[in-house]
Parts: sequence; C-alpha cells; structure tokens
Amino acid sequence: MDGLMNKCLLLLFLLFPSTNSLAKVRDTIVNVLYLKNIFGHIHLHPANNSETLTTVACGHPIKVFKKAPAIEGKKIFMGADWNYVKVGIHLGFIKKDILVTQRPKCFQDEYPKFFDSFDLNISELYYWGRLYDHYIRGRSRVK
Amino acid sequence: MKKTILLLNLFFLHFAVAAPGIIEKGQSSKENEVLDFKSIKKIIKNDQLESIVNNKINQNKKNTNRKKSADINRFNIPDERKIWTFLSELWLVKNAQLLKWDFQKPDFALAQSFRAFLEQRGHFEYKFKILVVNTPNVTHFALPSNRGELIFILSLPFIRTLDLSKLEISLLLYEDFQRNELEYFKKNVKTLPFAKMLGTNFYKKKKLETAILKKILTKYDQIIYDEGFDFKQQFAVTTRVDSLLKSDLRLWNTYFQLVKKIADLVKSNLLYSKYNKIYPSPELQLGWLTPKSKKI
Repeated sequence: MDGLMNKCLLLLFLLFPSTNSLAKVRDTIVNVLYLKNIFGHIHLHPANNSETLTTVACGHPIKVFKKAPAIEGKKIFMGADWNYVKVGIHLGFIKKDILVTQRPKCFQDEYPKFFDSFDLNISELYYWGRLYDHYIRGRSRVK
Repeated sequence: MKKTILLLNLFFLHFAVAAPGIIEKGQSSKENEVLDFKSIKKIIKNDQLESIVNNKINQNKKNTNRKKSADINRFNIPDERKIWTFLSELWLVKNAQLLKWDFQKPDFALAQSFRAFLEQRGHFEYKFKILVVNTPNVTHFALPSNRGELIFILSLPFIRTLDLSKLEISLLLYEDFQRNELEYFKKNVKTLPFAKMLGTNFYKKKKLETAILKKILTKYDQIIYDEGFDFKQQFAVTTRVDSLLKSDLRLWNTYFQLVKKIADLVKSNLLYSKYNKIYPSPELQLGWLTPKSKKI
C-alpha cells in the first residue's frame, strides 16, 4: 500500500512541473495567423537554413507564441523577422512576412483541380516551401 | 343442417373477399376529401402559404445552382493575369537540382539596394523576388510573372567572377526588368493552345490537358538554357536601357562598364561561352551603346 502511495506521489511530483509549463505555453499564444504563400516551412531554429520540421500549405492556421522558450536555460534570440509557432505537434519558427492575419485567397483554393493536375511529389512540395526561404524579397514604394 | 352450414360458409367467404375492397373505397374517398385543394385554395391564398412554398422552391433551386456553379468553378484555369508567377515558380521547383538554389548564401543586402534603385528610377509598387543560384549555367534572368511582380534569377558564380558591386548587380537586374516589361520571355514561350486555354474551364472534359502546360515548361528550359533572345529583342532592350539611363551619366557609365566586363568575361572564360547565345551579344551591345561620332 505504501509502495503504491509512493508511486502516486512520485507521479504527481513529475507531472506538476510539466502541466505548469504547458499552462504557461498556452498563456503565451497571442495570435492565430495564416500562411500566405503556396507552401511554407516550419524551422527548428530561427534561420533560413535551419532544419525543416514540417511543410504547411497556404491558408493553414498557425498559432503564434509571444516569445520563444528558453532551451536548457538559454534564451533563443529570434530577431524581428521570425515568429515562434505551433503547427500540429510541431513547435518551431517561421518568417513573419509570410504570415497574414486573415485567411488569404490561396492559388490552390481558387484553382483546386488545376493545381491538383500537376500532381506534385513530396520533394517538389518541399522545394516549393524552400523557395520562399531563399527568395530575397523587396518592394518599391511611393515615397 | 349441412346445407345451412355450407351456405353460412359461403356467405362468410364472400364477405372476407369483399371486405378489403369496401375498406379501400372508404379510405380513397377520405383521401379525396383531404386532397381536394380546390375547396380550400382561397383560404391557402389568404394565408400566403402558396408564396411560402414558392419561396422555398426558389431557394432550393438557388442552392442547387450555387452548388453546381461552385463545383464548376473548381475546374477553372487561371487567366493571363494569374498564371505566370505560378508557372515560373513551378519551373524553379522542378529545376531545383539543376539550378542549385537550395544552398546557404551570404546576404548581399540586394533587397535594399535594388529597391532604392527602382525607386530612384521612378518604378514604384513592384514586388520583386531575387533567387540566387549556385550555377554558372544560368547567369541572370527575369522570369515571367504576374502584374506588379518580378522574379529574378541571379548566378552567384557569375557575380563573383565579375566581382560586381551592388550598383552593377542592380543595373544587371534593371536590364532584365526592362526585358520583362517588353514581355519578350512571355512572347517566346507562349503557344496558341496555351493562349486559348487560359481563363477557361475544364469541367466538361474533367481532365486538364497537361501536355500543353508541360510544353510551356519545356519552352522555359529552351529559352533559359539554350536559345535565349534574338538580336532584334536584345537591340530593343539595350536601346531602351540606354535611353532610360542617359539622364544619369554616372549610371550610364557604370552600365557601359558592366557590359564591357561581361564582353571580356565571355571572351576569356569558357564557362560563360553560352552567354552570347542567350543575350546576343555583349560585344554588339557595346557597339549599340557607343555614341556615334558625326562625320563632317
């Protein structure tokens, strides 16, 4: 009986900090944004060449956190260009300028059968997402 | 006694056969009474039940029509305004291994310098994307794109070999931008079936004629890797850039020097010997750019 009690206490002790941190994470979700490009990548680190966690399609809702978590006590410097986000089970980074606040008019939603006809394979989907990581983008404006 | 029993049996048998008919007659007469709308038509009209029924029928018709048109719209093919950026990006994706653009590259601050350049030349509200590639096979190109958008390819080995400054890169891109404005790439790529296909719907056929689009992507390959532009097109681009830059002599001089650098490179480096075929030719460009001295 005592052994069972001890196990329960140990389990509670182990669970307590994790639920606490989960609650903290949930508190820090500030927005739900949408991907505006045809495809996009969620990165492990806030860098274009960082490992890809998953590829998301245009219009996919992405939960944005207020700030990145500290990993092993060290704070991650995101810079002004990146967001720390959650997509499905993945927690990672995505560039701010490819996200919008309202669900965009996506090419693949506007022309679904046309888009499907190309029958893109997995590596093409991956490269399409990478394309937006590699573009040097700008816009000339009226002063 | 037997006779009476037999008679009784016959009577009951007859009744059993005839009874359902009598009941049916009774029911149908009742139904007729219920379904006789004529007698209550005026009352229904006064209650406006008829108009409610009509409204519901119309609403149902509208809903089915809306669903059908939504289903048909799913088979739309993008028109001229929306297809080019998609096709160019599809070509870039399909040629990722050949172009080698998925690599770690330095940030040349090209976005800021080219943006400033466009704004100085008075070209506003252009969204541009520059893709730096790690191959000498393609030096610089402006791919067809939707209105107000620009997609450039720029070779890192090419700009490194020439040791180009930010201003020189901007001028190179500016020349591509002017070529794009004249729509030479689109004109060279377009086929008649493709032009007919744009903006249509393939709901009835159910299957897109992908062969037409594949041919367009093959034409992209031909233009970018092999054929490029003709002399007439190159002359038009060079004279256009010449007249646009003439107002700023510093820029014009830099452009002239850039063309000279490219002409020298093409002559001396075998890696770029194909350049003359794609953009014919830097040597000729110098001739077109050099001011003519008047003989008295």
